[in-house]
Amino acid sequence: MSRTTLLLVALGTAALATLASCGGGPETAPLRVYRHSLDEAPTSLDPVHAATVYSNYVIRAAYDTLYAYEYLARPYELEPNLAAAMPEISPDGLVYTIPIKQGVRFVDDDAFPHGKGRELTAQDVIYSIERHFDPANRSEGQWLWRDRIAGLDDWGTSGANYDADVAGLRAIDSHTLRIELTRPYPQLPHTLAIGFAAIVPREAVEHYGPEIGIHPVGSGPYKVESFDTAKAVLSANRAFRQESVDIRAEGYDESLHAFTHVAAIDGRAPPFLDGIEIHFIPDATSRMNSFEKGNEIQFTELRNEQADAVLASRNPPALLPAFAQRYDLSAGLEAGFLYLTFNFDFPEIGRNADPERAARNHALRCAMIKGFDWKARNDTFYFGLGRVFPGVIPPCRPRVRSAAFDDERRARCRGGAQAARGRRLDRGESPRARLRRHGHGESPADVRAVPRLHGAHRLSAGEDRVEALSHLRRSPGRVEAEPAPARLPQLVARLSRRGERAPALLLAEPVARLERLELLQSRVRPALRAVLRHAAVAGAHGDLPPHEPDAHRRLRRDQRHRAHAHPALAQERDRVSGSRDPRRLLPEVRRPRALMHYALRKLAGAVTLVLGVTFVSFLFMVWFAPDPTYKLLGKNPSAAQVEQTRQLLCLDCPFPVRYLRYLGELSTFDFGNSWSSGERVSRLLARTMPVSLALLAPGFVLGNALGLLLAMVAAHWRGRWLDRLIMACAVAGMSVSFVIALIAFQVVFSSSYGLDLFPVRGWDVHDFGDYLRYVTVPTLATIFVTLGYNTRFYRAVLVEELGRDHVRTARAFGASTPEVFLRNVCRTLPSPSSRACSSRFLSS
Amino acid sequence: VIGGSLLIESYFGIPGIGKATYEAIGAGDQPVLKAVVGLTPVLFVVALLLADLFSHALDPRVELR
Repeated sequence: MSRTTLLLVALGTAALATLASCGGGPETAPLRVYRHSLDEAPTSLDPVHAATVYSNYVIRAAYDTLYAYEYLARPYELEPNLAAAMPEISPDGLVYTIPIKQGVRFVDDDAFPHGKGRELTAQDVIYSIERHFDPANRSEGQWLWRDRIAGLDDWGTSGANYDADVAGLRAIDSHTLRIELTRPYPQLPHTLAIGFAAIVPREAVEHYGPEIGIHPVGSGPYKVESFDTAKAVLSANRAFRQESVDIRAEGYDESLHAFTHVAAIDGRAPPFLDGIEIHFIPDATSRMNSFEKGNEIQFTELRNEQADAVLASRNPPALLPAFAQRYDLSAGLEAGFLYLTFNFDFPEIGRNADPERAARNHALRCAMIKGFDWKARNDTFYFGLGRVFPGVIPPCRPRVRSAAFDDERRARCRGGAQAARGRRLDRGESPRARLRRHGHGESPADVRAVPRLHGAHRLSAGEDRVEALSHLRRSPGRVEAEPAPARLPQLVARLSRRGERAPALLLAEPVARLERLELLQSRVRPALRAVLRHAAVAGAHGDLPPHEPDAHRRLRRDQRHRAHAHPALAQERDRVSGSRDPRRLLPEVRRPRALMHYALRKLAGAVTLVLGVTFVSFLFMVWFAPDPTYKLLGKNPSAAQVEQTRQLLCLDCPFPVRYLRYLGELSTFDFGNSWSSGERVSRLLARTMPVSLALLAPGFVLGNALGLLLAMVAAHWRGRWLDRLIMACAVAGMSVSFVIALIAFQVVFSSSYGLDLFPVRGWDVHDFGDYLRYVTVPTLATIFVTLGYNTRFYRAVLVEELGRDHVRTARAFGASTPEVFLRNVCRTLPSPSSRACSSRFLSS
Repeated sequence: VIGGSLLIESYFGIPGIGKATYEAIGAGDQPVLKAVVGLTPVLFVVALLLADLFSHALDPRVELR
């Protein structure tokens, strides 16, 4: 069954329609930029990796191919593009002679001498095809020409020397190409029309190396200005050869295409636009929101689940009136089909040695085929627009893929079948056993090894440090026997020399004294406050007496009853605060050398941690990861190509070699180039990290600040209705999934259905205003999702702090609530919260 | 930075490290994965160290040991 797609085009067609009326030159008219959307991103723009529709979409705009398909004709018709004419084919069908247009130039690029693009020649076409056979390129399109072009396979296996000649690929002159085949291959011109055959200049490949995947240098109508997996930005190549479009020759049909206004390009030469932005938006909701916004993307594919909200009727497809006013709808068959297959290797349903069973299996298969309701599937998943057809006729049956590969595989299948034949059909056999019997599941990366390692390393710096802190709190008092205040400075000096922690223990002494005095007089409060301030803070990390459940109540009761001054207080006040500023009691402990020692010690300890974590993560993410070779090589690699790639990437190296290499990479911070886009990993990190930091920092800071504020309120009115309300909201907020919050915030703040205040999506930041526009909605969503957690965290910390003796003392002295929070509680917060924050920021 | 930004960045189409990591996992792009996986604990340790020094700077009585 053919799959269909529905496409909604908004302003794109309007932009094309206005072209005819645009009289002014490009320098006077505003930039005409068309914003397209695709539901997935290409991984690389290197033609050797042009395996997907998505990469072809961009590659075909940036590069030239010898042939192309007529723009509007369906079924597809081939036409010359960079070639001056269709190929001249020898009678035996083995030699193709292709003339190439004169005067075609590559875009200007740093790769060329003086940055000026040079003329494209037949040699460039040869180079571009040869690249697919160079093992270092891990081509995904090699299968197109494998075993087809004389001498090309051998050229690849014998070192891929680009200066050596290949018998089957010759330039007769600078603009005539001669391709000699090993056997007739009528599809050859078609292979020269797809992205794999795009023509790449050698200078650019040598200049950019693997990064050619993100820096295309071609001769197409557009030049790629920037590319990442979120967006590709293309600008018009003004030097593109001037060839006007004959819309009739491109298959224009008034009845089919009139509504698209595509006739406006008739007689004009591409590029028709100043720029194209292609946004890669996998999420359908986000894409639709952006589309309906009006000033973002101008094209979207319609998902089946959105049909009822948009379509008045499915077959023929028609938009609801509200949409029909604003958008054009285009529906077409996709160049793909869908089918279900039976695995004949399974004797339960496929071939069976027992003739009776085989006949029953056949009947079963027929019943399943007949029982499948394709119409229902078509209606449910493809708008009812697909065409159900009775069987699959493959366009061409691949002869033999690779002798070695196929022999091995055939032997395995045969072995499996024999084993199955010799064995009674055992219904109780496990799927794993069955797979193994068929030769699967014996790879070294078998997942059964995983559980043994699980839970082996649960180390983190945070836990270690928290343990140290709690130990500090638990340690019994180190207060030396009541040092007389007069002796304090000497004691401080002595303890500092011994490197012991002086401040907390020394100030603990005045605390005890003040606590006794506290009940007596409120008039002396201001005078004592200076002492109290330091004493109270000192208690935070000092050695505190065990918590007495009744102490607080008793304190309050006493507070209520306090009435009269005590004459001893005045004396005490003079003695403690008047004669000596307690501030001076704080010795200088911020010694730079100590800090440095500490940092070094910590870092040394961290090496073990990093080694442990990297070992475990390497094990799971790299060593036990599925073999990436097939992903890298596309759908049709040869056995030799798989082998070469494994060797090249050291995927078949033993564990110690790979792990040590990884450590080497880690120590030099040089991870090479990305296997998908070819971008240098260091460049990728430098490009993406600042964006992520800029994106998350505001949400993080505000989320914590707001959480702290709410926690203060809750902690102050602990147990009261306000506290309960805040905590209930916090729990409710924590229960909302992040994804739901993101969607909701996008709809509410950004979409045309909501407040329509911010861009729906994207990151087009050039100045601070842009930054605010793009960062606001993600920030609000982050705050919303983290607020519950933050509030609960800070409330727990605050409640604990508020119950401490020094805080109660401060309270008892009549310090106001804000004062207590600011002076006594908040000063103790940085310790637990800064480490919690730092770890949470990394993991958020 | 990596975990939470993944969702935001994917949904809002923002080219950050979370999105890059997510795509690297999908594509089996080991160099990127190795970099992210290796640098995360390093950053973690550095961040904790900075947090310690920060709280020490604010309140000298928090001991460094």
